[in-house]
Amino acid sequence: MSTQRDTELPILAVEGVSKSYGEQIGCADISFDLWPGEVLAIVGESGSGKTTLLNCLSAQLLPDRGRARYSMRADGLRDIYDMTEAERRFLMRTDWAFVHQNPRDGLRMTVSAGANVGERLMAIGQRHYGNIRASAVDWLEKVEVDAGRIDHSPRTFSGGMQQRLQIARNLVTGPRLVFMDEPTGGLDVSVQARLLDLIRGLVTRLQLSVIIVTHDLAVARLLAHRMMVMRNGHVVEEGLTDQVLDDPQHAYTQLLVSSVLQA
Amino acid sequence: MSEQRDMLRAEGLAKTFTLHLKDGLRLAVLKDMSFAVKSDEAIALTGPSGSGKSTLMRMLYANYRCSTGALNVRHKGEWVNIAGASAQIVTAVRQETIGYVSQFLRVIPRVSTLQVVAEPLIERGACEQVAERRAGDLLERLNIPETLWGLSPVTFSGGEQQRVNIARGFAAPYPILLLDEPTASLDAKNRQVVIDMIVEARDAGTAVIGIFHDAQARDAVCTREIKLPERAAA
Ligand SMILES: Nc1ncnc2c1ncn2[C@@H]1O[C@H](COP(=O)(O)OP(=O)(O)OP(=O)(O)O)[C@@H](O)[C@H]1O
Ligand SMILES: Nc1ncnc2c1ncn2[C@@H]1O[C@H](COP(=O)(O)OP(=O)(O)OP(=O)(O)O)[C@@H](O)[C@H]1O
Ligand SMILES: [Mg+2]
Ligand SMILES: [Mg+2]
Repeated sequence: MSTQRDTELPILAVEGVSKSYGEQIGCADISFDLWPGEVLAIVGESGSGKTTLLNCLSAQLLPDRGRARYSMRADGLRDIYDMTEAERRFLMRTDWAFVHQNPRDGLRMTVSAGANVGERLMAIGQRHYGNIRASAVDWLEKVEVDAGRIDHSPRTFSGGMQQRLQIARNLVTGPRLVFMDEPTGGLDVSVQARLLDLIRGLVTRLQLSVIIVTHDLAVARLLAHRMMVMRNGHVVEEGLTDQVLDDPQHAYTQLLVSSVLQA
Repeated sequence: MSEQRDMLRAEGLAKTFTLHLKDGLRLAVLKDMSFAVKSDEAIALTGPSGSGKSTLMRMLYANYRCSTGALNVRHKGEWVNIAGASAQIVTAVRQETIGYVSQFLRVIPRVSTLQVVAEPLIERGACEQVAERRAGDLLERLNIPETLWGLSPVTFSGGEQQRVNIARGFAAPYPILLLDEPTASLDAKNRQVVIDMIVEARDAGTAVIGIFHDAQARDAVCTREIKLPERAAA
C-alpha cells in the first residue's frame, strides 16, 4: 500500500467535528487530515461514536460544530457542511462511496445485480446501454461475482456476494474517497478473509483514500496505514497502525490490544 | 569531517513502558542513549536478554515511540527527527531511508512470496516488472525455490520465512538498514549468503544496525558494538 503525500493537500481536513444527540455525546472534537491513497481505520468499542463520526464525515449527518474540508477535483479544499444539498449529493454519486455494514442499506434489493451497478453510472449521466452493461460485467468479475448472475436479484445472493456487489456498485464510478462501516461485520470468518483480500487489492490498485470503521484490530492491521482509537466519543490515541498496535500508550488501547490473541 | 558521513544520531533516548493494566507499573527499559551511526558502519547491539535491544531497534524504526530524546535521521539529504514525528513523515522515512528486517515475517494470507518481496519497491514507485525481477533475484540468491514464489509464505518453514523477510528488507537500497537476528533460524549455507549480503550493503555505504546472537555472524559483519547495560531489577 503506497501513499504519496510529499507536496499534496490532504484529501480531507477535519477540524473539531462534534455531534451530540441531546445529552448523549456522539463524537466530540475530532480533528485529523486524511491523505491521498491513505487508509485510516477508526476502532473502538460499541457506542464509542465510530458510526456517528463516519456519518458526519460523509455529510450524511450534520455535526453541531466543526468543519470538514474536502479537496475538490477542480477548486481546492471546500467545507462539505457549507455546500448545498445538491452539491453534496453530487459528490456522493461521483467522488465518494459509502459501503454499509448491511448490504441491504447500500443495494437496491428490488432490481437486478447488473442494475445495481449500472444505476450509479446512469446517475452520473452515462446513457449507452451496451457500455453500462459491459462495465457492470467487468465490475462483477472484479469483485468475483459470477457474471452469469448479472440478471439475478441480489436477494438470491449470499451475504458475502451481496457485500461484494455493494462494493462493485460503489466503485464503478471511480470514487476517490471511500467510507466503510464494518464492511466485514456479520459475515463468517472465511467469507470475511476473502472480502478483505479483495478490498486490500482494490484499495492498493486504485489508490483509494479510505476511512474504515471496524472493531476488529486484525482488519485494521491488514488494511490501514493509520488508525484512531475512539472511546466515549473522543479519540484517545492515534498513530501509524503498527505504532498503535505494538506500543499502545493509552490505557484503553492497551486493554483493546491485550484482549485479542494476535492482531 | 567524519560527521559528514553520519546517517543517524540518537540523543538522550529513553524508553519507559507504562503498563496501565498492571496498575500503571513503569518499566524503564532504556535510559539516556546517545550514539551516531555512519554510512558504511555496521553496529552490533549487544547486551543481556531483556536489556532492550529489540526495543531500541523498534524505536529506530519509529515502531515504538521514544519516551524522551531525539532520533535524527538523514533523509533525502536533510536531518529529520523521527522521534514523535507525524505519521506522514515516518511513512516517508520508512519508504526511502530506513529498512527493517524484523525477527519474524508478518505474513499476509494469500499474498504471494514474490509480491511480499517486491512490495517495498512498488511503494517507492518502481514498476511491477522491475520490482518483481529484483525480488526474484533476491529469492534466488537466498535459495528459495522458484516453485514457492507464487505461494503465500504462510505455510513456509521458519528458515524459509526468515529468508523471505530478508529478501524483502534488501529489495530497496535503504541508506539505513535495521536487522533483528537476521541469521537466527538459518542453516550454515544460507547464513553465509545473508552475511555476504549484509557485508556488501555495508561496503556499498549502508549504515547497518543489527542484533546478532550468532557471534560468528556478528564478527563477520560488524565494525563496532553498542552495549546495553543489564537492566536494574524493578
Ligand atoms: N440517532 C441517535 N439518537 C440518539 N443517540 C444516538 C443516535 N445514534 C447514536 N446514538 C448514540 O451515540 C453513541 C455513539 O453511537 P455510534 O452509533 O456512533 O457508535 P459506534 O461506535 O458506531 O457503535 P457500534 O460499534 O455498536 O456500531 C451511542 O451512545 C449511541 O447510543
Ligand atoms: N510493547 C511492549 N510493552 C511492554 N513491555 C515491553 C514491550 N516490548 C518490550 N517490552 C519489555 O522491554 C524489555 C526489553 O525487551 P527487549 O525485547 O527489547 O529485550 P532484548 O534485549 O531484545 O532481549 P532478547 O535478547 O531476549 O531478545 C522487556 O522487559 C520487555 O518485556
Ligand atoms: Mg457503528
Ligand atoms: Mg530481542
